[in-house]
Amino acid sequence: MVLEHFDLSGRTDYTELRRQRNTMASVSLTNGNVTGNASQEHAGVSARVWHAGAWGFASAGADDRGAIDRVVGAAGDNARWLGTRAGRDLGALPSRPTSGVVQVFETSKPRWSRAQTVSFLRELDEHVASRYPQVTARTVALSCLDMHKQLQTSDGAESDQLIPRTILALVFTVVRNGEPVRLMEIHGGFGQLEDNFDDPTALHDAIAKQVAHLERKAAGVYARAGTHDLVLDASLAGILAHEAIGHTTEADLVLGGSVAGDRVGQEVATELVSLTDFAHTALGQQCPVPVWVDDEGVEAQDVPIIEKGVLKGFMHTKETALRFGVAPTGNARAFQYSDEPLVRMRNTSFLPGDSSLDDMIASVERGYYLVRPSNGQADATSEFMFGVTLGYEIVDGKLGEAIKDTTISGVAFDVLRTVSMVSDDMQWECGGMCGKKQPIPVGMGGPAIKCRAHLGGR
Amino acid sequence: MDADVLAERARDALVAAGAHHAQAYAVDTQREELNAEWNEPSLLRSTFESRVVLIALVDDKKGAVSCNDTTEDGIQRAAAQAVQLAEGSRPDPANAIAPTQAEASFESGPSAPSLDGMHERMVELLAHRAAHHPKTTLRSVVIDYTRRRRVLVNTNGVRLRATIGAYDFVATFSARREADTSSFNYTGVSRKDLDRPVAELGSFDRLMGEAAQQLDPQKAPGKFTGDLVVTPDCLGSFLSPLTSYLSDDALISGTSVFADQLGQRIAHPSLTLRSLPRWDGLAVPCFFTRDGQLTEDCDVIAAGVLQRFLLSRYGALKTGHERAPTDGGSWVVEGGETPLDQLIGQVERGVLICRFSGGRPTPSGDFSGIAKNSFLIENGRIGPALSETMVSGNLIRLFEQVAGLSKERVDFGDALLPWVRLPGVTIS
Repeated sequence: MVLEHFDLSGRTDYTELRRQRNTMASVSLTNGNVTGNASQEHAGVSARVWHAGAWGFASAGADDRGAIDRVVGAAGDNARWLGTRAGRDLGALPSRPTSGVVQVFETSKPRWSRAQTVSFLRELDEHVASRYPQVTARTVALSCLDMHKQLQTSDGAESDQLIPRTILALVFTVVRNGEPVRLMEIHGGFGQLEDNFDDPTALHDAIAKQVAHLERKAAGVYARAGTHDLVLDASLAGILAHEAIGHTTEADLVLGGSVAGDRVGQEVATELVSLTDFAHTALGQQCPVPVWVDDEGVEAQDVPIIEKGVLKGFMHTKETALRFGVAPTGNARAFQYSDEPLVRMRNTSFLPGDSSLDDMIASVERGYYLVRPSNGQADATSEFMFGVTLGYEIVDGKLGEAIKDTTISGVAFDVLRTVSMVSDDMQWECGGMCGKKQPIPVGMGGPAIKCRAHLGGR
Repeated sequence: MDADVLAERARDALVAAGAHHAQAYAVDTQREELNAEWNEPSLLRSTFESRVVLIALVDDKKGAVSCNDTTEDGIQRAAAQAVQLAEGSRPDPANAIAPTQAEASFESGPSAPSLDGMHERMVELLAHRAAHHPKTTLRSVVIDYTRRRRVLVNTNGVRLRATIGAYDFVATFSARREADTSSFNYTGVSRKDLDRPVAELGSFDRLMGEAAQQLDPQKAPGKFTGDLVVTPDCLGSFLSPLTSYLSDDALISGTSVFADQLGQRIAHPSLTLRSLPRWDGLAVPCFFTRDGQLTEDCDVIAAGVLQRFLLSRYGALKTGHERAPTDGGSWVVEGGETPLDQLIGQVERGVLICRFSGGRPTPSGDFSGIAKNSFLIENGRIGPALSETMVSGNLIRLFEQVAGLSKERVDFGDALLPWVRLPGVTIS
């Protein structure tokens, strides 16, 4: 896919032109039946134009010269139509163009046929069916998303990025006392299918652990509803970073009234807490969803959000940066070719501390160790929540019974003031998908965290 | 390429590529979307896309490809890929395309947008906020016109067409007073026209006003068991998991708690849930299902009794039950005889829950989550707005114990829902 150079340099209105192809392959097995076997491709071009403080956007599901001419013209018409009516001249958008960035990740291994893919999944499914007959329902679902974007802007940016991600979901159910109990685990991450998976037996240990956790969960108890001392596993800290703080510090939410708006420079957490939205590399390692250039042609930079407990700043697009009088940070991202860029996180993570997980659990007299998250949601008040699908009681510093599914919630700027220990390791969650008008893949990470927050239960 | 031509070419390309049975579903989508952010118009977005879904069956093996490359070469590539996917899959006798039906065509809604009308309604809503709800910030407003032309054809001779145009109105908002902010809230309505101001539709005015009342929230007074009065805007959060237990995934995997409950009482006799895809009051009717079946209005739960599962053709063949004449959605819950103020007046202690933010309910119906944009109810009176209030319970038990439905209902254009009182919830 090559975007023919389209001369945007002479345009008086700021203009973006993006050619994008999203390809998704998905296969799912339910109790051994192939219940999904599909491929999708969304490809086309879009243009966005800024005129008199208003945006015009247009897209078409084609990418020939005629389609490009049409979308650039239509986006300009839309911007002028609205700009003349909106009556808000905010001035020129900040410009920090980056050109020459090419980051195209395609596997160097031979590509699997669909028959090979189905065979791989069937081997996993048959292993579970034969080895764990107590598992009464099995779903094995694979999804592979390649997002290929080529961008030009009238202020001189040009880039070409193909970012692949592969997610394998294993969902097992057992029945205890007539009630189905379910646990899902996600595998995979950055890269295409062949970069992530090879031999199905490599997943056998992980499956054994999943089934063991599921059986303990099936015999588990309800959490006690209320506020508790909690140890959040590293695999769960990422969603706390994303929901509790990340959304609250997206500049568009700040403009919409987020409580973070008045707190830059203030202490919002204990000094053990540092949190960054990483662009593409964190602590010397490539992030799960690397972004080198955003969809406005801005070089993506790390955004320090909390440093040693102090709120430092927000994530920006060009428009929010203009409104705040700061530089854009490279957080403008769109999901499909037909979507406009929004303020989005990239890879949001707490930074490691110096405690060990064992010491953190041992320090809790009565509380909970929470291990696996499900869906979550943020709020302008910084009150967050996310589901917890696996956790254990802690009694006198030792793990006790497993708990049934629950929900954790709290006001982020209160909960972070209770953080008393942070582990010295860190883990990225590989399957994050954030919804905010459009879905978008995100990275979420962090170390284990000890804090106090509210749990649902009985 | 016109959707009719696209669908036929795709079906024929599948057969030429080796499909034993072939089905093609083409959709042309035109959208004009006017956006406002932070109380100001911000973006006009125009998109057009032709898309086709090609389904190939080869020896009971199924492959599906969805693409928007509608060139001749693009369709042939997609057809060949669909056949390859099918050949790489496993045989399943439940894989089938839609059976022979009479040709049918449908139309609904406006055939073109009024951009000036959309802009007028947007400006009017922004002015309404400034005049009546000055503490409320409209974080985003979207008024869009969408027109879809859908054509489904297959090798069984099926030819179904529908052209539907409609307007959607969605707003997200919160209130602000100096350093204080309320939880964000949102609501939406679909309409066939622009005849009425947005503030008069659905819940817009009521919820924008309530945002300011939520600037001084209080925590729940300890942990107690009480009632939820679920608002129409929130009811979908409770109905959606309930109906998921009646659908393909749960029934095929064998995890549905209702698998053996057809014809039996699964909810309180006061609860009647209908799926009405052909209802005249719908802004966006659905004339045929995704897998090519003409739709019919139907009861899913009638007076508490489970009338049917929400199965596709594949799900029906896998489970041995009857397929549903609907994809679900277009929900209408029958109202009760009790006026809303009396419904709330009957609650000794509980929560008027306006938005639920929680983890996904378990297959057995357990749920927990935060009551957002919600109010304490004590001694039959609505009290202060709540913060950091968790509600926990079991959906199935709650719907078995429905304690009342309001006479009043809210028309969202894609659903018609009352307030529902559900007892026995842990509130903390």
